Amino acid sequence: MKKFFKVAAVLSAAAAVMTGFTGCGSTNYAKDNTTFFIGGTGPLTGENSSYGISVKQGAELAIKVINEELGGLNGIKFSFEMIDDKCTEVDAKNGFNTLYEKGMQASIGSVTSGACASFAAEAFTNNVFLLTPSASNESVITEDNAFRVCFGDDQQGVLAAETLGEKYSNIGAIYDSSDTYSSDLFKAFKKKLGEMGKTFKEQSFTSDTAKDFSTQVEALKDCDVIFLPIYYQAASLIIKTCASKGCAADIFGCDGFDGIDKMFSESDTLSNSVKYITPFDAASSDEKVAKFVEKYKKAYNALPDQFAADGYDAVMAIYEAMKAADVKDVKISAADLCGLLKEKFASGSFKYSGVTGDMTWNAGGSCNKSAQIVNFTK
Amino acid sequence: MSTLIDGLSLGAIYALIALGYTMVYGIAKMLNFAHGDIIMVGAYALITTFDLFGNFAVAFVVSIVVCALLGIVIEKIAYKPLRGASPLAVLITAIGVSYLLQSIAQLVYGSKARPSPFPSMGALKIQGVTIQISSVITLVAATAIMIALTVFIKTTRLGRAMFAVSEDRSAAQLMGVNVNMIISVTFAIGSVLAAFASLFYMLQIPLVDPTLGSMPGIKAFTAAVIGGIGSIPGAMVGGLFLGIVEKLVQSIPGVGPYTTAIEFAILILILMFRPTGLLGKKRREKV
Repeated sequence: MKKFFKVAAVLSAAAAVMTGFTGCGSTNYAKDNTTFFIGGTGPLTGENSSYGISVKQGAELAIKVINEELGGLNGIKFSFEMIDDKCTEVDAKNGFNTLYEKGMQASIGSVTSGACASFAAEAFTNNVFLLTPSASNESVITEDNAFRVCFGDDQQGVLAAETLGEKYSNIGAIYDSSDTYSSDLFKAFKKKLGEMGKTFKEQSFTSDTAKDFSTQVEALKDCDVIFLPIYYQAASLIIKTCASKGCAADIFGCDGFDGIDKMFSESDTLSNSVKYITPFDAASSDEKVAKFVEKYKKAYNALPDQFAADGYDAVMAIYEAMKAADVKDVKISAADLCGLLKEKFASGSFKYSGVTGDMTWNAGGSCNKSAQIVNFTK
Repeated sequence: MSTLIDGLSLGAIYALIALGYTMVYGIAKMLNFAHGDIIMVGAYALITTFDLFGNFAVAFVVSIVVCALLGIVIEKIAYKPLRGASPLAVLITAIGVSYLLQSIAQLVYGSKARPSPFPSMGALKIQGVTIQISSVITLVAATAIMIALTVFIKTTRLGRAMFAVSEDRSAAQLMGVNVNMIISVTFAIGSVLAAFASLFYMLQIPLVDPTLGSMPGIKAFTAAVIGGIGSIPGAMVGGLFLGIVEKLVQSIPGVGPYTTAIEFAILILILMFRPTGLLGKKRREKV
């Protein structure tokens, strides 16, 4: 019994010391760091895991390049960890707290919009810098510490409207009214076309009817072009429905089309011209992209998709900004680093040239880069 | 006109699945909610064997055999021990089996959807109306299967034994019918219908994922109830009816997004005003 008290006394003393530390304002959890620590969350299991895994692999490749080829920053290496958030807000929030207490100094937020909004709220409270690779919803970057690498939903909608409005007169669009990505894109598209004085035919579907598109294709059969602000699975079904219904309209999509090549087998014929907006094209002849694709292939034995490229660019952009700010202290607190990075990114003069294009940022957090329109053939 | 044809071809798939529901319900007196997921298994069996052998006929035969065996195994393991238990227990077990199959498929094949390896069959143009060839095949096949099933039950010895079990299980047993065997055969036939359904489903919607069967399964169940569950022509009529309603509603501008809600509202109305369905038998409970 005596022993028990002794142990208890020691423990409570230790606890008192620890609360003493946390009591004196903001704790620097990075005080024991030996590397610069970047963290993030993403879906590594479940339905959307392909996105999370791609971002993780891209980010890890960037860390490898930084440490092995670029020699770190001022001799200090980088480390990265991604926690599985299963695409949920709760796990993204918990993931943030785990990483923060492990000494995370800057973050790439989360992969998907919903989870990232929850991650961003925590990052704002604790003053941690956030640069999401792929969460495109505007709600993610409302705070001044949050930035993104990918296009915003609105940006793409406007770009699509400009491209199609100039070229075609008979325009149709099919969107998913139950999905924020798709509806936000569609709204921006509709608004821009309206401003241009153009009219178009619209059709919609919801996630529970996202398999059979014969009605929608039937209604838009005579259009010159059909705009599809949706993800690649539904898009591939619409393209196949066009083929079987003899609809020859051109198809125009957004970055959600990334991965569409996997949905067509060798025996499928493509009877429509399919184009989509993307910031990243693995087949590009650009030297930076070609090098990245080669390294990625070597590391993971697969072609990188847009998410992998976004993950790579997010980590690299943070690295470049830290280099520009000449960060020397490996134990720098997340809040201090956030101040430095925020200033760089919001200034508008910080440029990063990555595999998804040449980027600058504005104080609102969105990224300016040029989009490519690629042709999908098989 | 095209909308009507689209509706008929969608309805034919619903009808095929509904036939499976109705068969099992009519004879074993239970709702096999895992029926939709047997379709999913059938679809995966099809693409896996097609990838292996590259032969469509082989793939289809394998898919039929896999589905039939799966139906029998599910019945023996999950449902047979519960024969005589309350209908609610059996129903919940069926839902459990449904989730089990979905989860296994997700573990084995991953959650990502795969494209069907079968090419699109193109369309015919008759007097300005485009008709998809796959729609025609589905419709013809569903009708043929329905007729074959009716003939089988009316004329063959096995079929009449099945009918007897459906009328009165204990009396049939007293007359020397092997009830266990009959129920197994029923499940096998129901599952073979599911294999056919998966083939026609893939011809129209060339995408396979682990939850492929759940929505068509629920819709087909609705169709079976609308037509009168337990009745074979009822399943056919209910399926085609629901398919046409779905496509017609979807093509009305502004109402389209509410299609599913309207379909299930029809189910509720039918249950309220004609609980035995369009072609169902009225059965008076003796007190």
